[in-house]
Amino acid sequence: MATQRRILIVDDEADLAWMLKLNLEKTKAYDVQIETDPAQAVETARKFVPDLILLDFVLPKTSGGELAVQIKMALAPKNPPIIFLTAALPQSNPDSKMRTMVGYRFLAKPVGLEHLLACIAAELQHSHQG
Amino acid sequence: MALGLGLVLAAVVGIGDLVTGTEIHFAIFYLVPVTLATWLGGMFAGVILSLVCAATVSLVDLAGGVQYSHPLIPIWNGLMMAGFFLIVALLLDALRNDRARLEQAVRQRTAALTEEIGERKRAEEQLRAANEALTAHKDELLQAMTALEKSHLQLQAAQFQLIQAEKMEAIGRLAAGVAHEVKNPLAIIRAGVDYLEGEPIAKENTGHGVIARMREATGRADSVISEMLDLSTPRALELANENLNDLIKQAVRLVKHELTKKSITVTTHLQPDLPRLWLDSAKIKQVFINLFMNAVQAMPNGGSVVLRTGVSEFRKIGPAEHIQSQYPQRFAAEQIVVVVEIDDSGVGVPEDLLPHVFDPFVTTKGTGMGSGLGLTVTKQIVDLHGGAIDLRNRPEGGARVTLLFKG
Repeated sequence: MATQRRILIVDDEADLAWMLKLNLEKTKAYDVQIETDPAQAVETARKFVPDLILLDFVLPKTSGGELAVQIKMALAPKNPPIIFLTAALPQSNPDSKMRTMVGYRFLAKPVGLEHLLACIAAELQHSHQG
Repeated sequence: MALGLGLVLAAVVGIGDLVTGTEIHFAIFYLVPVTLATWLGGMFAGVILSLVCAATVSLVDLAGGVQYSHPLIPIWNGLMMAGFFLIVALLLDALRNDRARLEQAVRQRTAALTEEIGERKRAEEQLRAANEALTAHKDELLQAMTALEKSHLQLQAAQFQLIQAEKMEAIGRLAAGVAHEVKNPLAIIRAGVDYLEGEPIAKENTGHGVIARMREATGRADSVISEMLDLSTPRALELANENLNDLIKQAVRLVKHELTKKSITVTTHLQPDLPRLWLDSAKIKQVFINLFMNAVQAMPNGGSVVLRTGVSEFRKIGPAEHIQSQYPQRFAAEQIVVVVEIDDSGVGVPEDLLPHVFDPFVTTKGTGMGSGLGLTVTKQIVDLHGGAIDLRNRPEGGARVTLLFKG
């Protein structure tokens, strides 16, 4: 399993985090860890050293944006891509399924597995090249 | 004067009578002064002249030396003549009086008629003036009425927009709150469905059906929330100089699969060389996708969608009048507009729903089929572009959506 990439999921919705972990691990391509307490997220990231982070954008007490910066600082010089998951984005707009904001990819909840896997693969490839 | 003239004439006739002697009858000539005096001077002059002439006749006879068998005979003859002259004078006087009365009557009648004619003329004059005043008034009234009607329409439109805005705001507040609370559980269900998809249960017929229906249901719930969020998210447009035909082609490509699956054919008649427009390409594509999906739902058993683009003067397009009433100041009559018409062969919209099709949560679809927000979002996007949208039933069946953009 040396080729497995490491993904950290940070979402206070424990059920969603767990379900996403199940789905991602099913592909056998990823080693997934979940963190449902945003306050612990930086520490968990430091220990786990993920290749990619799925980050809920709307979190209690903090925002996904702030947390992203803290995690990036904690992991530097390693610079894993971050994909934001958000419940605050509409989905009917054909372009809104995949939006980028200040360099981050935003996915609207609920996100289909196929689409999620495609985005993860694209981000990993991008960061690998970078 | 008449009396004098009569007396002179009587004297002349008397001399004539004397000169001609008794053998030649001359008495008839006395009628000249009698009639003349009566006619000119009236009864009094007539009576005097009658008596004078009768006396003259008697005097001339006496002077002429006529021998009478009785001395009273000349007096008798004189009285006879006087009676005769008096009768003539009285008759003439009566005639004269009648004539005077007649003349008087005619004069009076003429005067009355003249006055009547004058009055009639005055009345006609007044009528004409009144008529002119009325005509002027009528024009003023018409102008005032037109102005009133216009302001009434504007008021109605403003009121309508206000109501719409209020509804939108309420939906926006609702959406923002609901979205976060609903989208997370939806995400869990969706992830669960994705998980089950890879399990043995999905290989069974029933299991496969159950999973497919769950997936579809989450999709439907999500699209309702997404449409509500669409309404509440900020409306900044990302405008670029676009070719509308290209955006339509892209939108058609996006829905082609769905349309083919539902046995619906799409025909496009895109006029080449359309003027380029400042559009938000993503939002305009969404407009066409919404309209296509609407058509799909109007044709559950398949059918056809025909889309045409073109350029026209605003006043020449079919629903111009209706659009003018909905958007009072948006288009001038000669304004050049880019027109898109989308006809479907579906069931059309019930007439009572037509004025409300763009209102939020109005839907012809059964419960659970659509959010009733698709057309609201569509109209909002078109409005943001300064365009207009109209939906009506076609006489030959099905509905026609007309989109206008300022060229």
